[in-house]
Amino acid sequence: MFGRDLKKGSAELLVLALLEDRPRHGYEIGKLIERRSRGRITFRIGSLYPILCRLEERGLIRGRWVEKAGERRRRFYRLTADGRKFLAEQRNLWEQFVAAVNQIARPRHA
Amino acid sequence: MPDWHGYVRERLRLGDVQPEREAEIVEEVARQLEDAYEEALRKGLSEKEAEAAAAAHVADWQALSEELRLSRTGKLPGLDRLIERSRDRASLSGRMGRFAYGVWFDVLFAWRLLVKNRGYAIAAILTMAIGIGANTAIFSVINSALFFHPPYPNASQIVFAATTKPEAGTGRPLTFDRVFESWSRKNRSFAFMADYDDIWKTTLTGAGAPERLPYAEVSAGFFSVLGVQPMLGRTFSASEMVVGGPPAAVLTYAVWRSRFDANPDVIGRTIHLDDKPYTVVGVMPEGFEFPDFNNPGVIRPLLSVQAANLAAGQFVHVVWVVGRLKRGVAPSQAQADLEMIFRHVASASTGGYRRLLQRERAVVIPLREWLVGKTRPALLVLWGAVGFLLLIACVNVANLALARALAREKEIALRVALGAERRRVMRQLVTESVLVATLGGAAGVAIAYAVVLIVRHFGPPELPRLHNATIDFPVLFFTLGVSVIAGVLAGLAPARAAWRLPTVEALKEGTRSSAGRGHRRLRNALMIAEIAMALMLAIGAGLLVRSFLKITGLDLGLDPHNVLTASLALPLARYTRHAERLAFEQSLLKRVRNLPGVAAVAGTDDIPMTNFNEAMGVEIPGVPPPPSGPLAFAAGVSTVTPGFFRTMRISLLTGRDFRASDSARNAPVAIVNQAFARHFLPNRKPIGERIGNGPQAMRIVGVVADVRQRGLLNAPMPTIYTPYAQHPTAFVSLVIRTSGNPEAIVPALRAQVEQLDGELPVFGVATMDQRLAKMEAERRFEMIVLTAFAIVALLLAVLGVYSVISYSVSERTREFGIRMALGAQRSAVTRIVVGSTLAMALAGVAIGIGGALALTQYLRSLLFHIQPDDFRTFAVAAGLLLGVALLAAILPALRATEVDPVTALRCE
Repeated sequence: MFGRDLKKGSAELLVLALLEDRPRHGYEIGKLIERRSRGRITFRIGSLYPILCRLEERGLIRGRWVEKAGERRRRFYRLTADGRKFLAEQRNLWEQFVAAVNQIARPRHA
Repeated sequence: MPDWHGYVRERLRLGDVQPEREAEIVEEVARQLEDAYEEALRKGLSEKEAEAAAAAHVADWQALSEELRLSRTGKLPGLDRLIERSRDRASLSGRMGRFAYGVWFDVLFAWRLLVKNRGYAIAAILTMAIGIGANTAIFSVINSALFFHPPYPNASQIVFAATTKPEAGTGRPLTFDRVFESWSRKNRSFAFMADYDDIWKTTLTGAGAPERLPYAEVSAGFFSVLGVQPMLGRTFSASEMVVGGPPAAVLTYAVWRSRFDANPDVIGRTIHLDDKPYTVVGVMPEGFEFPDFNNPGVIRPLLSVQAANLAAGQFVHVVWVVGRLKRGVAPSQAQADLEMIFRHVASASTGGYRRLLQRERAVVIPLREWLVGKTRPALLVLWGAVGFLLLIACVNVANLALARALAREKEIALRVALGAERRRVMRQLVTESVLVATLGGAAGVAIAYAVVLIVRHFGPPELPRLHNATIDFPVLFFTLGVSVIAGVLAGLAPARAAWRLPTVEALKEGTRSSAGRGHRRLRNALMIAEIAMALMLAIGAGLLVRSFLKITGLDLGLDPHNVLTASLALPLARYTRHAERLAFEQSLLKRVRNLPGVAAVAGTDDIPMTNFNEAMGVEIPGVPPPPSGPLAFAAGVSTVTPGFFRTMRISLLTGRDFRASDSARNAPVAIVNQAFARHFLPNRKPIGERIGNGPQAMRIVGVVADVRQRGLLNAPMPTIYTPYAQHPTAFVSLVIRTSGNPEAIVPALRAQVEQLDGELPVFGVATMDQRLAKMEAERRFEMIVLTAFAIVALLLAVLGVYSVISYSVSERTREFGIRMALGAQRSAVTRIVVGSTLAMALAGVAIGIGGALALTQYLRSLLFHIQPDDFRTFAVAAGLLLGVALLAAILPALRATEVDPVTALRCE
């Protein structure tokens, strides 16, 4: 639905935002993005997984293998303190950016 | 359900990722695919369809592998991770944090660039390492020598007092005991004052094998001046300080350890010095040093001056004087005080002594000043040299960075165009260069450590504190500082270039030369500076090398090869009469002459080239004295046995050698050297002339060639040789010419002495060659070090000059193409290149010559028989650098003009 560049630029923000209230596993994150955007943004595993890896390397999220009763072992990710700060800043930046773009791009009515 | 695990494992190619991590990745990807598959099934898809839907999640396995591998190899990506993280942190932090993480980011980023450009990194780091390493090594020596504190409480109050001729340099600060006596009675500046004498040696017996030890004689206030007390026992009592009092001795720590097994019961024991008994009254603590660092093994009282003078008649004793200034008295005040007293002493004295004193004046030299002053010029010259070396290294690294900045021009322009602040880009460039310098500094410390080890091992013992030189904390701090400064210096050029970079033009294709103009001007300036500095170093090195060659090429007047020297001191207590000494000497010579391998042997009281033990005023009846001047009436006196000149191969020019008949029963005779004949008997035949009056007058029977008795660097002094049989001294040395290795006969020599007198130590055993080598060890060492630095610096500079010129010439390939396409001849193009390079090289040479003329003045004290502005040295050095510059221009110019004009135009 959206171009690759737009998606790529915002992917980190989306993942971090989804982990804000609770830890989630990889596939769940992908599904949530799809559901909350009402199918307008979709990530395949092949593109989402490297994003998770990078975020983890940068210390913004941390993954942990969790075994729940009757379920398979899954890797759950949660936000680190750095990640939380980073998310706040990125969110702020994003809002400013969107506002700025809107100011210019919105059709002017006389 | 399909085996997703196997499915993933088959397709993911992670290369050298760690196996555990690979398993983890495979598991997680497989699990997610399982989730997708199961969800598809739940949605009602068939197994086949669900499998396809899940598989579609990863369209490009190669791309995924690539992406995971890039961030998972643990090597470079580990660095990338750090870089990413520092970038995140910088954006998260407050102002200070932003700056700190920003710098950290710059460092990591620079590191990544260096890792990617290994060739550049290695060249730049090595260059810096050489420059910084040399500086660190020299600084560690300077740190221990110049910033050295003498080991006494309140050492700044301790001074030497001396009398010296105004024109004399910084020699040993000495004066006469009578002068000291007046000073110590009348001065108002000193809390304590003492004189001492420490150049003699004594034979210690009665504690193991006999041993020759240096000893010192000190007067009453000595220990109070230094503020140091014995570790065991006490200092001398008043009764021990006068002639006829109980003989007492204080041992130094080293002697107490080595000769008395560190036994505290040594206090009160009797030892024998030159066969006379002394009671040990004290032992000095470890680390105690004499003010002139000429550390004796035994300390004896210097008996009070009036009594000693009574005993020795009119004997004039030369002594060191040390004093501790009263609180608040400046050395200059003390000097004025002593000078006033000294003038009284001088005007109250008579005869030749008065003439001598009239020409001298009192000086007060702070102890530290004297210790350090001797070596300061040499060390400062060295420091200056390595400073230039570092500057050259900086210029080279700046050039490398500049060339690279040019190559990265587009990248930098792009970053600036994309909104990166120029300030940030500059900071990045400077950070990169500081990183290079710091890494170079780390490598430099390793180099310096090696240099210091070598210097400590081979350096001359005369350099004070040299052997304590270490790479310690202050030195490391210095190195860090130097590295950062060098890094900033080297980074300024590319940063400045980035600052001036016209963004838009740089982004256009093929506009290198226009943007490069600013670069080129900068590089030209650097090149001129580099040539100038290299020339100064080359000239300095050249002057030192030529001095060195002049010293080694000197005519010694004797043949030092295959000669062994050894000394004996006959104790006056047992060898009282002349006949006893003569008999001993003659039987020893006879025994040694018969040893296998000995070609000739003779005795003397002065080993050749080791200065005189005795000098005398010369008066020749009927011959007018020479016009006055320093040492106008003095001649050195050496006592030798017959055959001495033959043994040393000193040419006998006229007359005859001494013979057995030149004995105490017959009239005194003497042989003089050429310098004597020239000085005292100009235009006369020396043979038959008499030296002195009355029955003791010596008749000259021969003239021999000059020997540099007072050391290589001093002109031969007029010398009188007297026969041993007429002047049997207690101190005798043997010179033994051997047919083979002189050292091979040492055991036999010792055995012969032992058979004659079991209590007599043989000391000062060394070959003449060894003595010669040691004689100029300090000078030689300075020259070797300076020359080594100069050669390294010259190499760096030559490489730098070459690379800069050849780079800037090859950069103009396109311009040459245009010129040649427009009809220019190859020779014309080459001429342009050579001409412009020559102009710059000449500018550099002119500046370098100017600088060298100003700076080589400071080398004067290190030069021998060569002027600091020696034309030949300047010319050769200038020629060398011009040659290098031209070579560096011509080779790439030829290469450039061989290029087909069309190709040249097309390039870029």
